[in-house]
Amino acid sequence: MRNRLFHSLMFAVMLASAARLAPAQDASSDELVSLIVSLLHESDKDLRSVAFEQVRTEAPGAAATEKFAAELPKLKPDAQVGLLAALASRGDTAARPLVLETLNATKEEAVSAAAVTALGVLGEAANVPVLVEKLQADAKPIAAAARASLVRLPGDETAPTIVKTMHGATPNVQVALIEILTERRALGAIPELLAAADGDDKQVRTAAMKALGQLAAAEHVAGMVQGVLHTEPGPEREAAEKAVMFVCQRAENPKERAAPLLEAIHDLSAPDQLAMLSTLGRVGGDGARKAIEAAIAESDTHTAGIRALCNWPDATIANRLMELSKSDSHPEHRIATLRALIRVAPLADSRSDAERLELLKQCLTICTRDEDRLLVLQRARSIRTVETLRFILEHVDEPAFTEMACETIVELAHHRTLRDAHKEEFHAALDRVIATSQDATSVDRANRYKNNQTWVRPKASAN
Amino acid sequence: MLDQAFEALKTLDWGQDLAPLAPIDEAVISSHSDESARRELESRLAATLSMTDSRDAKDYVCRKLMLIGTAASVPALAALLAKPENSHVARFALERIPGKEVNEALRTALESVAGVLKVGMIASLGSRGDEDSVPQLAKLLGDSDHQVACAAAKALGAIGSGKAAHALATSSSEAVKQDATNAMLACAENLLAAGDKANALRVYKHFAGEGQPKHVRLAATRGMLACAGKASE
Repeated sequence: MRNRLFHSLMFAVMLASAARLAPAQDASSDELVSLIVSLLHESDKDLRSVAFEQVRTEAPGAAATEKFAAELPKLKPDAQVGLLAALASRGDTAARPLVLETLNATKEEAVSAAAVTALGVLGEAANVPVLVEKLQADAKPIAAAARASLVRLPGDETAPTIVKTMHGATPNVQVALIEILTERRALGAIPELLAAADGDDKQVRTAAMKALGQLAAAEHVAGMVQGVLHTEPGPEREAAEKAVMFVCQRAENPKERAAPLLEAIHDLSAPDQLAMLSTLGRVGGDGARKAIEAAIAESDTHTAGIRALCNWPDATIANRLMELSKSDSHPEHRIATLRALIRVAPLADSRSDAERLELLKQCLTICTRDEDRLLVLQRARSIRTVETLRFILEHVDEPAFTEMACETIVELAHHRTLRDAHKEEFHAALDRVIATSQDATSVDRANRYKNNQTWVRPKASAN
Repeated sequence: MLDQAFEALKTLDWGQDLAPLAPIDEAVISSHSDESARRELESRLAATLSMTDSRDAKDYVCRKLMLIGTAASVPALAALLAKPENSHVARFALERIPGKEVNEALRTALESVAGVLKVGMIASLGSRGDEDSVPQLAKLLGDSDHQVACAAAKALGAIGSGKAAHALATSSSEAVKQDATNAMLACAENLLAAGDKANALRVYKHFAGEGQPKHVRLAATRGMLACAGKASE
């Protein structure tokens, strides 16, 4: 009994101590928060930066976050930008309401962009509409921030909300949202993407097929086939076919990569099956080869079969292309298969460099047109050996091939390990380039490599 | 062997072969767990300081006493503090010897030396964090020798106590203003680390005002935040 009384008394003392301690801790935290808040209003940006650093890492808890965020409407724009970034780094969603309020109230571009960026961290699925609205802003920084925020916006419901927002949006917005879903790796959006790939707008279809090329799996190939069939012949069709190819190439067994595509086209009408031959050719594999050879054997599908074979992704088709380039009854088919052969001949695979170069040399013997010979000299640069250099040097003095040969020589010389291993031969070759080429870039590159300098390849234009 | 080494030590000159002194080095190491042997060695080393005129011998002895010296060696080392040739190496030994005797010796020497030797005494007192030297150091803040005044400010900062901070705050010397500011901020940091938030905050608030240079305001502001943050931990 006495023992129980003692324990009760001790408990009461502990409670009283805790009660005394608790307000003291709150008061201390308040002191820090107040100090940080006052610093946020400093006119000196370096002193404000000290406050932002504190907002990022100190005074934990939603109450402090709310106090910091409550200062947003009272600050000047540049301070608002800093505080929004700091609140985003702090990562406490308690700041979300005031971030949204600031976004709605401000007319400053930088503040808008900062609020949109912060929303990407602090927001939720419910904020998708406002971010989609900002995605369409005229100001590029705001649109870019909205795009980045939609990519990183947390929450399981975010991707489904983005998908819902796609309905009724303009084609441009739909394209942007498809790209965002792709970056989010939103596999749940695949059914919507398949529907978009079969839609009426060309740019939306193209974006959807591109996204499916990255996200889809074998079970989605049938749906993608409908997308391919819906495309316009030309660049859109080619891009769609490549998207299907990317999906099929992800098959674990390379020999079976055409299986889902063959299955998907099995029940199509004859014209649609014919239209899909080209895609089959891009995918390659035993099943595709069989279907394409069957088409080549029939006179009414011969041309489509040849075109499909010319899309083949690797050099396993080389012998067949060689045969067709010599024996096909149509001159244009002989040219098409020869050019396809020149394309696949130097592709890296299990063959040795010497075998690849030998095949390319054989191609040259079959060529009857200078444009095909030029293609041989261009493709040779993919085989980075000194034997290739010797092969190309034989054509430097032929006026029709001089510039292409010189271009290939400097391309080979670009690779320092190859160049340094055969220094004398390369220096002599580069001297010939300098002496014979009329192309300023080739001459400049030759001089640079001779002097052991580098050359920076210009970035490819976006178009 | 050790006797011969001590004989060789008396006439040591730089450039000579140090091999004859090896027994002394070995004795310093081997006496690590033998207190009486170590005290005897210390006594012989301290006695050597008055038996030789060789600067290099004294230098050698001071370096050994730095390792094994106690309060018993302080008188012999203190006798070198006023000698320009030996003062520095004597402080080198004294700074590392524990006990208030060293502080007293340094404070006494402080009154009798000038110029760079005085700067040295001040630095050693600061390095030892000698709270009792604060009044002497405070007076030196107004010294006509700029080097001495700045050294005093830095030493007070190194001591870092409330008294040191007060002494720095009440100094009106413009010549040492920058060093005094740095020293006061060092004091505040030390006070905060020791849990004396009120005094630390007082210093930081003093320097957080708009009249201060920006880098000082930044440091003081960070200090104030650290005070507030520390309290909330």
